[in-house]
Amino acid sequence: MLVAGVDIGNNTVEVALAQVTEHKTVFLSSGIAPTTGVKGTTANITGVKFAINDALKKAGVDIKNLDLIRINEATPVISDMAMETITETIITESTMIGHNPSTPGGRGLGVGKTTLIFHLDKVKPGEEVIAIVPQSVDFEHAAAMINSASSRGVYVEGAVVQKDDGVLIANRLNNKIPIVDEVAYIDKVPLGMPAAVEVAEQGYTIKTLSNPYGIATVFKLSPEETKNIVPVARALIGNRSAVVIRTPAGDVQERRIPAGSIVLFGEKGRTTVDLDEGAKKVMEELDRIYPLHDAQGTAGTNVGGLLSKIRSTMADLTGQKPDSIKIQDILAVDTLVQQKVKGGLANEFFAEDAVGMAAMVKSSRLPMEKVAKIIEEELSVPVHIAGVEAQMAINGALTTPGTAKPLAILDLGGGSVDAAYLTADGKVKTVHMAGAGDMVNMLMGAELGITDKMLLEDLKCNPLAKVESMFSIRLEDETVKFFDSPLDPQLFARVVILKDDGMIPLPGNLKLEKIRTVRREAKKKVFVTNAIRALKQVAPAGNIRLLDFVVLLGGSALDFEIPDMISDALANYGVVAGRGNIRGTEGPRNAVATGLVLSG
Amino acid sequence: MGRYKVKPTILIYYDNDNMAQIPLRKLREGLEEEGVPWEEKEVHGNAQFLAKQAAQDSQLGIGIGLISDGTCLLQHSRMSVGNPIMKVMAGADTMENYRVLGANAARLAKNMPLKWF
Repeated sequence: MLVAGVDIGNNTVEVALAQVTEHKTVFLSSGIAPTTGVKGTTANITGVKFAINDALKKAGVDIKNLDLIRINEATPVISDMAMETITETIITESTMIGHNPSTPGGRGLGVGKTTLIFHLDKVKPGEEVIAIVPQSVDFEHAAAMINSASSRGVYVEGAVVQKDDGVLIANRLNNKIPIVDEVAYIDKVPLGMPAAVEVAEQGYTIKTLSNPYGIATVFKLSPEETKNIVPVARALIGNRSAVVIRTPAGDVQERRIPAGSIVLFGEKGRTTVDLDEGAKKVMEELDRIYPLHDAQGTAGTNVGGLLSKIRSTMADLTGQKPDSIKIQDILAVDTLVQQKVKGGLANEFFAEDAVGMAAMVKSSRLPMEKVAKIIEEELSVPVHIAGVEAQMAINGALTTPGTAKPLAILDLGGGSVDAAYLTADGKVKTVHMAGAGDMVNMLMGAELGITDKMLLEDLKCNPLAKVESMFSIRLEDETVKFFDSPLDPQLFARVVILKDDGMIPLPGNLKLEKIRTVRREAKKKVFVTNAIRALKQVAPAGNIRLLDFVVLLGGSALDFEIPDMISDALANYGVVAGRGNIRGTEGPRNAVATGLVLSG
Repeated sequence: MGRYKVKPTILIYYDNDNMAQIPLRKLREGLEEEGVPWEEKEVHGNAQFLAKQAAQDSQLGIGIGLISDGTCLLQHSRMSVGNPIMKVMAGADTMENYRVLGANAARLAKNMPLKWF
C-alpha cells in the first residue's frame, strides 16, 4: 500500500511517501511546499497538492497509485507578535546634525551664528559665524567667499555643507575650520541661530558635543536646559563630526511613554507587572503563576495597544470575538528600535527602548475534517485524520539514530516553540510557547532598522563576511577565504551575507560585529528562552535534569547556530540535545509526516 | 621599470592635456575629497592601455586612464585588462561621474565601499 503522510504546518507542508506492507515500511521520498493560507483552512489544498506532487515526482510514482493520505490533527495554536517603543526622543526640527559623513573637512570646534554663505559679505567684522553652504555653491567659490570674509575680520568658525565637499573646501581655506558635509536637508538649518560644529581628528571621535556639559559650556546652558540636551549628546557619541544648533525653544526632549502594566491571570493567581520594570520581570512573574489563562494590558497604554493588536489579529484568523480570545502564553523581550529622527537634517537614527512581545492563543479545534474532505475530492485519494501532531512528531523523531524512549522533542518553528515529552510507558505531554523564528526577524529588523523581509530572513539564516580585498573575504570567525577570480566591485569593502548561491552586499554602514551580535542575541532571547521554558513544562516534575534525550525539530532547527545555542544551554542540565535526523536522512524536517506514515 | 618612487600614489595617465581638462579636474576633486595622494602623467595610447599602464606603475596598483574623447577607466593591477573596476564612457551624462570615479579610486586604496552613479 502506498501511503503519504502530510503535515500541514504554519509555514510549510511536508510529505513522507512510503510503501507500507504488513511487515515492513519502506520510505520512498519526501516532499515540501510552502503552506497556502492559514493552517487548518481549506486554502491549504494548493500547498498540499504541491508537496504531494513533489514527493511523487521524486519517487517516480503516479498519483493514481497512491492508496492513502494521512493528515494530522493540527494543534490549534496561533501566535502573533507586536512591538512598542517605550521611550521616544523628540527633536523638534533641526537642532542637531548627527550623521557620520565619511570625509568631513578640517578639525576642531567652532561656534557662531548660522549664516548663509551668500550673506557673509554683510556680516560685521568681529562677529562669529558658521557658514551654511548649499549645493549650488561649488567648493572653490565657497572657499573664496569664506577666505574673503575672514580677511575682513569676520570669524568664520565652521561650515555646514550640503555636498560631499568638506575636505576640498578645508584644503582651500587660509584658516582651518571644522566642516561637516553631506547634510541632505540643508535648507532646514535655521539661520541666525547659535550653532557649534565639531570635527575630530581622523581616528578619534568628537569630545565636546557628545558631552552634555560640553554642550552646556558652548551654549551657556542652565542646569535645567542641560538635562534637556542629554539625548542630543547621547545620539552624537561615537561620531567623528557633529553640528548642534540652539533653537529658541530648546526643543529636544526624551519622553518616556507610560508603557502601562500587564495583568497576568494564571492558575496560581493573578499578578500585575509594570512594563517599565522590563521584559525580564514580566517573564519572572509569568513563571510564577504559570500556566497562563489570559493576559490583559492597561487600556490607553502601549502594552494595552500591543495586546489588543494581537487579540484582534487572532480574532480575524479564528473568526471569534476579540473578547473571547484567551492569551495562553506570552514572551516579552527587551530590545532597541532604530527610529528615524523626525525633522532630522541628515537622516539620523535614534535607538529607542522597546518591548517586543509574542502571544499565543489556543483557538477552537481547527476544522481538519473540512480540509481532509477537500483533499479527498480534489485528489481522489482516501484521506484519514490520523492523530495528534505531537504524538506523530515523537514517532517521527524516534527514527533519529541514537534516540530512545523516554524522549522529549522541541519543535522550533516560525510562530511557536513546541515541546512534547514521551514517557517510557507511552504517555505524551505537550506545550506551546509563543515566539519563534518570526519573532527573531522582528527583533533583528527593529534593532538594525531594516524593513526588507527577504533581507532579514537572509540575515537570520546565513553568516556574514567582510570583503577585505578584491580576492579575499574575512569570515565571522576571523578566518580568511581567497578566491581565484576577482570579486564583483559592487561587493568591495562591504559586509556581505554568505549564501550558497553567492554573496549579498548589505546597504549602508552596518558593521559586521553589530549585526552578528544583534542576530545572536535575538536568537538567544527567543529560542534559548523558549526551549528552557517549554522543557520545564513537559519534563518530569518540572525538572529538565530528568530528561535524557532532547531532539530538535522544525524549520528553525536547520539554522546554522540555533541548535548549537540550545545544545549549549541544555548541556548545563546534563541533557543530550541535538538536531534530529529523521529516518537518518531527512535532518530535522519531516518528523510529523514520517510519524503519520508509521502510525498505521 | 626600475623607476624610483618615494610614496604610494594613485596614477592618472591621460593622453591630451588640453582636451582632458574638465574630466581631469573632476577626477582630482574626487581624490582630494577622499584624501588619497595621486600623480598625473601624459601618456599616449588607448584608454585600456593607459589604465593598465597606470595601474601597473602605481605603488598602490590603482590606475586611471583618461583619453581626450572622455573615456575614463579605473583599473586595478590585479584585475584583468578587459575588466576595469569602473568606467565612464565618452559623452557622460554629467561630469560628476568623473568625480565619483576619482573618489572610488581613492576608496579602493582606503578599503572602503565604492559609490555608484
